[in-house]
Amino acid sequence: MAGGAAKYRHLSRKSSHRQALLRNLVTSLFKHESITTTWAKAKEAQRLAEKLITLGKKNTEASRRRALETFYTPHDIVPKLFGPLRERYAERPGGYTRVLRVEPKKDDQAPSAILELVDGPKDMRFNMTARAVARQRSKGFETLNELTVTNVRKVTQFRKDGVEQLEQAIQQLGLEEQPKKPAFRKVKAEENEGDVRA
Amino acid sequence: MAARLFSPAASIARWAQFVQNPSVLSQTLFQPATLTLTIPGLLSDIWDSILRAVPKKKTSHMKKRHRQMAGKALKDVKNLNTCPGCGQIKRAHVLCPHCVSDIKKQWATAKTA
Ligand SMILES: [Zn+2]
Repeated sequence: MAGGAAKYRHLSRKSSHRQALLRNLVTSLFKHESITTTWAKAKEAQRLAEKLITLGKKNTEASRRRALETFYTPHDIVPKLFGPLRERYAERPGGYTRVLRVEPKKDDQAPSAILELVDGPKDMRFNMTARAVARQRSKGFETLNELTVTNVRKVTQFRKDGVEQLEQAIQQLGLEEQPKKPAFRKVKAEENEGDVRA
Repeated sequence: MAARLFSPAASIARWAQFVQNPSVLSQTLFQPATLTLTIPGLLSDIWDSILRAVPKKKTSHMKKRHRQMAGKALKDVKNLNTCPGCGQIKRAHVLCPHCVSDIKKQWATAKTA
């Protein structure tokens, strides 16, 4: 193909528009810790976000300037990036963000995804893993399945007190489940499993 | 005849003749008919082959839609598995929408509390 393989997604925008979009996306990401957008935009914003965290970890005057000129609200986000986020990712060798596919959110049915900062307060995979472990325990299985074991390792490896935090989240789920949703959820779950076997 | 048509007074006079005398009308109608019949005479060799090669009927709406939608039917979703968090059916490689909305609700209440 003429021009060779594209090195990045153009997202159907001209350069300045695309640049503004990505700046908006990463500003929101660092503000809220997790954003839901289309999958292609999430993947492009992920590239920029990883580079910005690397700037934070470098923690030099030059990197601070680069960060200042990227965000739209730099005075809220740059202190966060060079403070808590730098400490959170000090041990982690890259891979500070995560893209998880979700059911389409936009009415054009474009593939959607969640872009999140790993080990943050809005870590979707951490919460999903807690749910999966809680459910397997409630069903009385001693061993977790292969994928859940991988996920447990992923969410606890670099998190501060990761294992304790996951255990706490699982306990909390167990406590919430019994008073709030008594029989309805269980009946529904059993019905679905019956369908799978049939 | 052309000169008579160009002068308005003459044409009005002819119009009066038309109304009063139908035999004049039939006469003037036959005159151009004989003229036009001579023109297809020149084209008669292509009349059958090209000029009449048009669809006999308008394609109906149903026929057109069937033709244009052929091979574009929705496909069955077969990449399904059960959610490890709640046990409901979900698409493979995509997070379970029930669990995602539950977790988001949980975050919202945690934020307000
Ligand atoms: Zn689920």
